[in-house]
Amino acid sequence: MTAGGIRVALVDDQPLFRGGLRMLIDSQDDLTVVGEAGDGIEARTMVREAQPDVVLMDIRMPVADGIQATEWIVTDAASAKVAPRILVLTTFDLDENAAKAIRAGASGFVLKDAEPEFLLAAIRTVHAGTAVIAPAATTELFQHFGERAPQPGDPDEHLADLSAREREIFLLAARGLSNSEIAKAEFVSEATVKTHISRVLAKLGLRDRVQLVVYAFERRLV
Amino acid sequence: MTPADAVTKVRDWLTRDNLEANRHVIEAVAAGGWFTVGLFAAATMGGVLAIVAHILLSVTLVLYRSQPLLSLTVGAVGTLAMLGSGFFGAGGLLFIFLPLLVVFFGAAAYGQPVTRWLGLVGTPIAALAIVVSVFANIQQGIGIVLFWFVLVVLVLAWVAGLLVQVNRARRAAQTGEIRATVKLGEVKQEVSLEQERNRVARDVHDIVAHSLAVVIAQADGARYGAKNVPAPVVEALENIAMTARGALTDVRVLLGELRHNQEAGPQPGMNDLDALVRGFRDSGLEVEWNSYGKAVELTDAPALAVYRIVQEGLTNALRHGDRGQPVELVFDWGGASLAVIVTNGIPRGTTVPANPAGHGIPGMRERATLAGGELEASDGTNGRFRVRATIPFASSASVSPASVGPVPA
Repeated sequence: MTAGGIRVALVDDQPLFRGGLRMLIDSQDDLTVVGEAGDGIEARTMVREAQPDVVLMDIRMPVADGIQATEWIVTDAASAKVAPRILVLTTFDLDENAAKAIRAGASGFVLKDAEPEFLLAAIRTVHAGTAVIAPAATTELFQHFGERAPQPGDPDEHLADLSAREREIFLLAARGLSNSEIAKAEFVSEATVKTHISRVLAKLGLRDRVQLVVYAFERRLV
Repeated sequence: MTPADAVTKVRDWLTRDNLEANRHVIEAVAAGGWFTVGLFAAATMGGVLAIVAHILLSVTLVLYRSQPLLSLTVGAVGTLAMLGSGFFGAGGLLFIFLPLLVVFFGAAAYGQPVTRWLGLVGTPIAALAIVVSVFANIQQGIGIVLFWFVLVVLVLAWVAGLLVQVNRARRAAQTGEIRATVKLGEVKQEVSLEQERNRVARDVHDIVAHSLAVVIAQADGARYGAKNVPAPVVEALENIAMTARGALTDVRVLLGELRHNQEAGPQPGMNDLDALVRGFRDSGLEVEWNSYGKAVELTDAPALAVYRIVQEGLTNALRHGDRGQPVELVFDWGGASLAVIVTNGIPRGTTVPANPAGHGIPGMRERATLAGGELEASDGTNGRFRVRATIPFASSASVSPASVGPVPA
């Protein structure tokens, strides 16, 4: 484990499932499993103590489910300096609970049977915050379970606080482009994009770029 | 054939069913006879218009049931024709107006509401027409009395029709209600079956999804962790095998439930009783099964009834009975029919409800009745609940007892 490794926590009610994920994640040099929990209440305590960077969160669990646990962790982290990113694990492609968890503050969702490389990449992406994982699947999820404005939204109304450059970057990020893709499109450095994105999120009161995607989708800005 | 024989034959034929079935023929013959007789009267006493009127009024006899409104219209036209014939005061013409009774009866009995009320409105007009046309030459005072008399007769015909209509509507409502109840029951059963199937499907999916998620996680984890020392491969393979085996068992149990509920395939009979009782014994129910007398081979229907009654009786014992005491299952072949008796203990402190509908007694009784037998259930006063069904042997061919012999307890 390297000094700057990503600290991962596993929350699932099946110990053998956690065991498998632990083997997978610990096999990576830059990832370490720092904690496990079997239900939502345990997860809250565990996150407080182990301080992971990324939490892999099952939804259907006894005592308290993954949506509830996500809400708690996000609330608890509001006062802390660094909040853990939460990745929801789902069984179905179109799981309404995944949409609920993202509303509650999760940064994305991954299928439980995803290829290991995809899962590992998702953990890294979510931690870096440079892109949304599976933007198309996320949009489709909200197409099914979200509420969309009947008319295309007016950017002047919803994005009034953003500068012209910030609006451009907002719209690109809303379409699921990563920071490097945006940098190429806008002929600026990735660092600049990152700065812009954080400013956009702050101005719109959004926690995460997946919320940016949902925000744009629901107001029909894209 | 002597005349006495012929009378007997006719009398035997005159049943309600035969009259109902041949109603149209009987009515047509009556109308034809009426028409022929009336034709003479009209021809001798009236004129061409009187004959036309008579034809029209006779036609109503054919129409009053199937076309009450048309019959009413034709009757009105016929009456007008009679007035227009100009032959007034011929008392014999009263005869020609008699079909109007049938017209008003038909309008009330078989017409739509509009026709019915039109009929009632028509009665005083018809009464007036009849009195004017038939009794033209009498004193006004007598004419008024006659008018009221004719009106009362016509209204009575209308009221008789109304009674028929009300009675028929009531019967239709009852039939409809019974049909609706049966249909509702069928739909409810269908829905609960469907819900059961969906539940099982969901459970199967959950089991498969959960265990396969574990299998995938363990396999991927072992694959990626293989470079570690010691490699976690053997443990992962053990976990995979164990998870897969567990899932298969769970799915099998669920599918077994589904099969049990749906019972596809041939209906069970006497040969399936062994397996049935064994199943209950496996569930922990102690069953003492004894058979007396020489077994008789039962045909399908009574065999199915016996199977279901045993199944329901043992299910009751399992659900509601005292598991501490053995359940007695007795087959008595000694009488003219097979007696199946299921006796189980009642747990202390519980009583048998007065109407144990939830205990499947109505269903068992229905089974027994369908097979031509009967079923009685005890009230459980002596701490034992007993159900006794008697199922007649449909065929009396005796067979070796071995084919239906009991499994010794």
